[in-house]
Amino acid sequence: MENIKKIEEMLMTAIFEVFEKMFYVFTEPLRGDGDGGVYHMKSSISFNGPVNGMMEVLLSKGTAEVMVKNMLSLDKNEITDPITADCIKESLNMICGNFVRRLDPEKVFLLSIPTFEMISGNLHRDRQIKPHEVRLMFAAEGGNMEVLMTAPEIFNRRCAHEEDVRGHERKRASN
Amino acid sequence: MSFNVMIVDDSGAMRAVIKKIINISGFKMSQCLEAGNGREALEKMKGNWVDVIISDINMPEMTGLELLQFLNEDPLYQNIPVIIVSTEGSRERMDEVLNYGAKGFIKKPFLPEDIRRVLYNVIGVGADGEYQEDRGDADDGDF
Repeated sequence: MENIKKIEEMLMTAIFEVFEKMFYVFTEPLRGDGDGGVYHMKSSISFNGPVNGMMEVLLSKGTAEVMVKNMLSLDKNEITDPITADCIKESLNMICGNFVRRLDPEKVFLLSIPTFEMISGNLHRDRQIKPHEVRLMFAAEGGNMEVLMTAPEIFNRRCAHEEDVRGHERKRASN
Repeated sequence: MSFNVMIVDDSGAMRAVIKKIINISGFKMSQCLEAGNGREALEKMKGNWVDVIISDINMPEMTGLELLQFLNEDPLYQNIPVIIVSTEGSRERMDEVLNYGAKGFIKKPFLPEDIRRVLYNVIGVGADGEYQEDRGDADDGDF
C-alpha cells in the first residue's frame, strides 16, 4: 500500500511539474474513484526500461485549449487540431519522462513516440481500475484531465518484495 | 555578433517554445533553423552555417544521439556546440550524451531561465549578447 502511495506521489509530482512549468496550468487532484468528467482527447505512450508500462492522458477540450494557449501564447482562433495534438503528445512525453526519472534516476528508459486521438466521453467511466494501475484525476482550468498508468512490473516487484518480507518475518518468528 | 541557431525536435510546439524563449531572452539570433529530426537537420545544415544546435533525443528517423554521433565524426561539424533538451535525464543517458560530445543538457519540463542560462554559457556570451572572456563556473546544465 505504501509503495502504491509513493508511485502515486511520484506520478502526481511529475504531472504538477509539467503542467506548471510548461503550460502555466494549476491542477487540483480529485479524490475517489468517481467520474472524472467528460473528455475529448486522449494521448498514449509506453515506456521500456528497468520496468515496462504505459501511460494515457485524457483531457477535456477546455483544458487542452488553455494548455495550448499558454504554452504557445496563441489566441483562441489560432489554435488548430494539429497544434493541440502536438502539445498534448508533448505533455504526456514530458510527464512520462519525468515520472521514470523519479522511478529510477540511474537507468535509461526508452519512451515510444506518443499517439493522439479525439474521443468522446470518459473512456474510464465504467471501468474498474486494476491492481496494477494508477489513475489520477484532476480539475484544471477549462475542465479536467486524468492520467492512467499501467505498469504490472512495478506492482509485481512490490508484491515479490512484500512476500520476501513476510517470509523473512515468518522465519524469524518460528526461530 | 549574432548567431544561427538550429532547433531539432519532432514537436513543432516544442520548437516554437524554445524559439520564443531565445527571442525573449535577448540572445542575438540572426537565423533560426528548425528540423523535425536529425536527418532533416543535417539536410538543412548543408546550405546554412549553424553556430549552435539545440536538439531533442527521442525523434523518428534520426535521433538526437545519432545526430550527435554524426556531427562528432565530421571535421566540418564537430566543433558546433550541441545542447540536448530531453525528457530523458538518467545518469546513464547523460554520460552517454557527454561521451558523444554534447555541451549542455536541459531536462524537460524546463523554465525559460534554464534555456537562457545553458545557451549563454555554452556559446560563451553574456547577458549583453557579447562574448565573455571568462565564463566562470559551469552551471548544472553544462558539462
